[in-house]
Amino acid sequence: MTRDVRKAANEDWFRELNERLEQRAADRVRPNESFGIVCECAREECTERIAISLPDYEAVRTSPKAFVVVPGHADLTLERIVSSTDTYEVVEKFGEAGLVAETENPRDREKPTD
Amino acid sequence: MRRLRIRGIVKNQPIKREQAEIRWGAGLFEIGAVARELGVAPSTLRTWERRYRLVVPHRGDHGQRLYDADQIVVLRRVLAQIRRGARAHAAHDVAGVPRPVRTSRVRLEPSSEAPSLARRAVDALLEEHENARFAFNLRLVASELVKNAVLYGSKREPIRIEIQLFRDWAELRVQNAGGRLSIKNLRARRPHGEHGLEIVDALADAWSIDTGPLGTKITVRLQVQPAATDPSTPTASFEA
Repeated sequence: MTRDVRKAANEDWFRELNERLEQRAADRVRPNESFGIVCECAREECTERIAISLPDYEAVRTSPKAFVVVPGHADLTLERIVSSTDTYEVVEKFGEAGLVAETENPRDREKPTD
Repeated sequence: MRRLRIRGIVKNQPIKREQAEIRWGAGLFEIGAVARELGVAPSTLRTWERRYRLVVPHRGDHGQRLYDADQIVVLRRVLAQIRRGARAHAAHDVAGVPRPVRTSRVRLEPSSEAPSLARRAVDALLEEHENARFAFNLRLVASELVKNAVLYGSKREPIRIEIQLFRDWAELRVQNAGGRLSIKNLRARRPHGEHGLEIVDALADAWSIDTGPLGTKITVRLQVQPAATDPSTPTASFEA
């Protein structure tokens, strides 16, 4: 596995974790309140938390190549910054990392196959 | 020494090496072959199946019982217990408890280094586990629990970690000395899940917390997820 694919895999696994965190938050958080997710950057040891509202999180998840990272955590060899706030940046992957992100999009796996 | 014969099995008899002739990976075995290998009557195997439901063989085209290698291993464990003097039902209880493939126990000083040392302990146990996502999740859970133990546990007593790797899951125990951990207080203080238990809750198949005036022990069970969705399959590796 190349280093880039390894990094992309880390980000995908953080995204999967955040999808689960969102499901749990949806039961107890009001629509405009923020909930906690984990930074989706490539560094496995990074577990910095990001506060984000449910609609903003959902907006990011409309693109399978978009990820949420703490400001300064973007790896510009794999991704470009497409928007930013005080607490997080939204990055979009390109190249091999983009392909992995699309293939591994957990929301695609949830769709019925028939 | 007087030997007891119960349902065709001689108690207090050591297992003969030549009985362990069934080859791994050779497929499925008919009841007669298994009974011969184990030194019991086929009717004994049928009775155990009906009574205890621990080893339920596959069925062939004509309905005949077929045992796989894992089932034969369990039957050997049952027999080993009986030969040590256990009754059949107790032997099945003991043999039915899954055994870890590997176990690791580590004591860590409660320092800022402890979470990354916990990650390394997971790596050392898993070696090159084929499912990199499972390894990632286990490292994450271990480091988050140890981070908690450093933050909220005793600053002097070591943190104890035990990781047991089973075939399809892992069980992780993190124990620290110190006062009682209040989940309610943690949630109130850190609404965005910064205490790590949110992560544990999201990733674990099951977890439990045992907290009291002497310390806290958290046990987490993580299932190995199907490798089909693992982008690293089949060439998973553990690069630094």
